Amino acid sequence: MDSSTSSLTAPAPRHTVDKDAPTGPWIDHLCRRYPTESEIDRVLTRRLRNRATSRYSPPSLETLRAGVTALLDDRLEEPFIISDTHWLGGGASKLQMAFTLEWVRPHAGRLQTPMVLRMEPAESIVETSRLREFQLIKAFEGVVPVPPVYWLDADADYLPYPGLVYGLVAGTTRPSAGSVGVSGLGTNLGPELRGPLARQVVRHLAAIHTFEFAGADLAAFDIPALGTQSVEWAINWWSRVWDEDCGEDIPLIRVASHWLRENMPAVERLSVVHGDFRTGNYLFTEHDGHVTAILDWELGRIGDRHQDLAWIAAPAFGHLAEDGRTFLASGLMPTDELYAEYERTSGLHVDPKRVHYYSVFNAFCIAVLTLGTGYRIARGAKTHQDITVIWLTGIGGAMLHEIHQLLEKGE
Amino acid sequence: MLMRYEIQLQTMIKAMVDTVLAAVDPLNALAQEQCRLVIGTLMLMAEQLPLQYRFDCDELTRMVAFADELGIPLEGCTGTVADASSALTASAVAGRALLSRPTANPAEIVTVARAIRTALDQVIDEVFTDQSARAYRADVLRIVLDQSRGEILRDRVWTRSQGFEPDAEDLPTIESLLLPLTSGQVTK
Repeated sequence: MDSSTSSLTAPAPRHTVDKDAPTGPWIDHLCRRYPTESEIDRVLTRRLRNRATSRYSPPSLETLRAGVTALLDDRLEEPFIISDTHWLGGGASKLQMAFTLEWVRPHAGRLQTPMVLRMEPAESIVETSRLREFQLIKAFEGVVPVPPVYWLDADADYLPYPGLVYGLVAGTTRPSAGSVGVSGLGTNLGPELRGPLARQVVRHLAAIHTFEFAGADLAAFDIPALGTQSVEWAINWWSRVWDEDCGEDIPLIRVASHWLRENMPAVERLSVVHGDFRTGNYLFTEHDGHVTAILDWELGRIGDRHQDLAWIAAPAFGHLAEDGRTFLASGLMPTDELYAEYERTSGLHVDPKRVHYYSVFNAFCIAVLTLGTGYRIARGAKTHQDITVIWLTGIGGAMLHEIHQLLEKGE
Repeated sequence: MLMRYEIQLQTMIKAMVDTVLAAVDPLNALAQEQCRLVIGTLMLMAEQLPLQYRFDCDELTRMVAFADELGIPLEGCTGTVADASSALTASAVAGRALLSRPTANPAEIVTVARAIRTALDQVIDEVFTDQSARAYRADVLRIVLDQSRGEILRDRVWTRSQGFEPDAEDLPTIESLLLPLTSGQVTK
């Protein structure tokens, strides 16, 4: 495997840090130690600077309706009416309010459109940029099915926290008769839906990875050089989050972060990486098994497609088939068949060594966000889902087991 | 004293299942999910609380052993690695002293175990950051993998009832993985 090493600045003394009330010098130290994309650095720094003072207050539907009204007053020329506001479930990360918007859409006339406000809590189990999410969904309109995204409040000028408004899309993330865990983990689609969905999902993944992003408006994304820059940015992103959030040091996680740094594979072809591409993060209509939208683009970046390929096949997102022996990647199809189908569809090679590397990386990321961020934000009462994120720390043991097995296996 | 956690948890779970959950708006998916998670969390607490003290003593014992093991290859190292290694040794000494005391405060056991974890983390970070410590890295990686194995298995079993383990039925019991309490610890 091609690799290069990067150098880190010296670590800070651990005992001096109060992570619930981070100091300016410590935040500056983390920024220097873990250089990453500028927009990611911005949201992580904002989070830390607000941590000591920003407790989460649950907003009422009325508060959110007022925020959306203020946003649309600035964005729309014609009068509009917001009605039927109600909470949406799903996910462990963002607040979602559904509503109906009666409005005049340019070139389409007066319409009633079902909409969703997707807004951050004070801190989220994944701290990400609404601007990046907005730009990425816009970029993929017409390329793969995505929810139509309309308006953005990137800096919480109108809403209590940053948010975006998109159109509600028909479909479900889980079959009405299947089994599902928290946040869609381990969703069993059932044998009837599995086949038709698998082919579409692989086709959409291939379309994401072969998308020519150079011409798209992705100003909130730093474009890395070919080689290891995108890998190093990603390791720094998640290593920084671990240092910011963990409440109990875990030697294996520290070792894994350094193993990743010492074994970075050079990226030979840059792709848009979705970052959370799995069953549970796309909508489909049950009656015809049609994928209607790819969701949850907040972890997207420019990098190595193998990150998504390892993610979709991660043990946490799949289950055994009815024979009790065959593992179905993301509940869709056996991993080797999925990769073969991907290669046929995309024309891109799947490199097992890179899949192994990104399997370590992905397990590291999930361990960081469940064992680190989940603990920290629940401790600080930062979200509408504190009990969900603390429940999800229970995945941590399985993730550490996976990291351990993969590192034992070596490259 | 009858008002103990066992009966308190049992009655809370029953109230949640029989009364509260049934009254939650079925269209409020967020409230439904959180209601079920409250029940699940209470049930997990009911499993874990009787063993919590033994778990914490096991954790401290494992951390002391981990610190001892990691210190061996680092004897003779210099600079920041040596400083971190000295701090690790001191934290292990404190842990060992606590384990041998006839009456140790349960909260103190957790605090000292976490301090050893922090010292371990600092040593590992220094070894992999300081270019002059490259020769130690393979040994450190091997020791971390070896020492983590039992701890990870214990933690997976500790949370098994949450349902995140695909092979949960193949895992051993938590009682078989926790070290027995010593005579001083049993007196608590």
